[in-house]
Amino acid sequence: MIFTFPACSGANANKTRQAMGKLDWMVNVNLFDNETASFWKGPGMDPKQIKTEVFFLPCAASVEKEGSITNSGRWMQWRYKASDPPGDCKPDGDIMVELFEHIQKLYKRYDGVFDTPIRNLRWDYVKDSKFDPHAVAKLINGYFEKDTTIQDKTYKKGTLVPAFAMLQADGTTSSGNWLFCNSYTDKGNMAARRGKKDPTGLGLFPEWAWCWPVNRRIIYNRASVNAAGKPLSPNKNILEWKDGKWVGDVPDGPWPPLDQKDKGRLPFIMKTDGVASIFGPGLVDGPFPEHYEPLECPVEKNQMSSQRINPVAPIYGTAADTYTTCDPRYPFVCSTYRVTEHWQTGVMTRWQPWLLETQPQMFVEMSEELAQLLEIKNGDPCIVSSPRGQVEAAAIVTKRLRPFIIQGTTIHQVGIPWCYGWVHPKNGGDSANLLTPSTGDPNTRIPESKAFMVNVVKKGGK
Amino acid sequence: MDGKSFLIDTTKCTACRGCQIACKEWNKLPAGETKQTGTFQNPPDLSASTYRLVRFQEYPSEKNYMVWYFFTEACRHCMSPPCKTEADKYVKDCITVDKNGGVQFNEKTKELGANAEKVKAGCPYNIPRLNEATKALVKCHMCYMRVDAGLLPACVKSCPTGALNFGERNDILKLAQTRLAEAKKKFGDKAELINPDEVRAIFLVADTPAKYCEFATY
Repeated sequence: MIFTFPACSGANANKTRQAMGKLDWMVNVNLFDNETASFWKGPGMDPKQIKTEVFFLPCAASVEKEGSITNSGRWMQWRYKASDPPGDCKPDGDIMVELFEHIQKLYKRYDGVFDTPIRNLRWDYVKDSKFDPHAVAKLINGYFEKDTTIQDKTYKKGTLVPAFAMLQADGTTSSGNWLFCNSYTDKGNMAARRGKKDPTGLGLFPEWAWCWPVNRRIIYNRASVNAAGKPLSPNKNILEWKDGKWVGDVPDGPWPPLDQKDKGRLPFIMKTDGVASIFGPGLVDGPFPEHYEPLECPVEKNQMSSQRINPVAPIYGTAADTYTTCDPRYPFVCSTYRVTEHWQTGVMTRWQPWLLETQPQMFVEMSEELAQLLEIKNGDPCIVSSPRGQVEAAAIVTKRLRPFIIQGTTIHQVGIPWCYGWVHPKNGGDSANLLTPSTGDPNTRIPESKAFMVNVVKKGGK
Repeated sequence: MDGKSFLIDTTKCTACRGCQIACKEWNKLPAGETKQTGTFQNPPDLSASTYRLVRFQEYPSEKNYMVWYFFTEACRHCMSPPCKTEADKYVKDCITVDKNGGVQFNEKTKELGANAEKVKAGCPYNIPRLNEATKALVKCHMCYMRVDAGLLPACVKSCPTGALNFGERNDILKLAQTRLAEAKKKFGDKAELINPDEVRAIFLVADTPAKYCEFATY
């Protein structure tokens, strides 16, 4: 469990917490003690009944280590270390090095299954058992392992491969990941570049950091031009065919525009047919918008079609995965959300006193109408429950939530944040994910935690 | 020299509370132990460890069924500070006005003793707080050390939306008029600047000031 946090971050967290008790051992790497590492002493757990051995390894925060981060726009950006980690906390690279060297030592001493790769792993980028992010970044880029001549140029053994087109399938080159070949070359660490030029004016900043592959900022960018190679949108001139060459972003392939017979090539080069698609193999749900009710919902019928819920939504059949629809025991729609003051599960932010002061405890937001119905006053402690669990939360009665009239019936909605957990603060409450169902988008598994059914009562009430 | 001023355009505030926390961070003010009492406003009030507080108020509205007003409250840095007039009666110059017009409480406020309550009561905006440990009166000091170094006050620096603005008073007064015109267009004629001629922390509100904060004006 390296930087993952299933005891609070995933749906149906009670199921997850119970499942962790079935492990022989678990390694947890995190900045702080947390509900995953300490699951065995959490609410409803009997440590005597849990055999799982937990190893907790305190790690460095992002600003306490050097390395790269690649964002969802494919930019690989280098970060320097701002300060040393406190105490025994280590960068994850050092943790992995230490673990591996110990494992390798054991493999060298004893016989093991499939031991050759472990006994002989290339390990020349680690010096004195210290993780060197530059050495690893270079290895990911790739080296010439022998003097190699490509076209008319000879590359000496030990030099960095300039781009993935030069990678060879015969063992004369190495590369940790071909997509990142070109990121660390003889010109230096491309990800550490901080050039601010933006020749296209479109925010591509080609000399700021580096973008996979080969610093191409927009993939399939030839789709932005017409058959003559002229931009389809003159205001978004990413790429243009001028005087026999492409000008602008790094083109997705060297081929000339499509109107050059037999020479042009369709822009979506990684697709078999070269064109874009919104549906294809590997996807279970279709591309066209269709309304389904959530897996748990307050209505018997989908008013848009005869199919109430998505027929290909993931549904698990275990006893811990109980779902309810139109069940008078769970009459209210519940949504989970974030607050500005905490990050995701709060595992990092709940330990920041200034942030915690502003959002100290689990709450449940409800309309004035529902509060009146349930005889709940602003600030009252409440219990929110679903078939999968319950959490304590202080009521926030607000005009921001209003009852819905759905198919002629008044339906109430409540809202809860998912940034709390029992470890810290002590009176902060627990995770909203104790309530959420394990289902989600059929293609992506994006969880369906914005719509499920709960009950709310005043604590100590009926 | 007209000094400096703030424009606090509440119509642009999203209540992210970056200003509230930036103020604590810069001034190394500790967090208190708080509870969820049914509001996002926390801590509940200004204190010796909270010089700036974002207040939250919600009201019914015909246009959008409800409105949520945010008011990032701190010292107004009055042009003629009544706290100073009051304090000078007891301990001369325990409150001073700096070259930027910032109203500064200094160590000598500890000598006010029981008169500290009278100085507090002299503030029409209910801002000064007594530090029970040191017996000093404390509040926002317009980040004089940052401003002297050519930096923005910590709260303004943290503001991502343009709600908090700081600069030369003349420029801020001009900006206030521009923003007021925009707010009137968007929110109607109730939009107003709160006491712009009297204070250096000028609030722009879209509705009656009292709906934002009990002591928004007097």
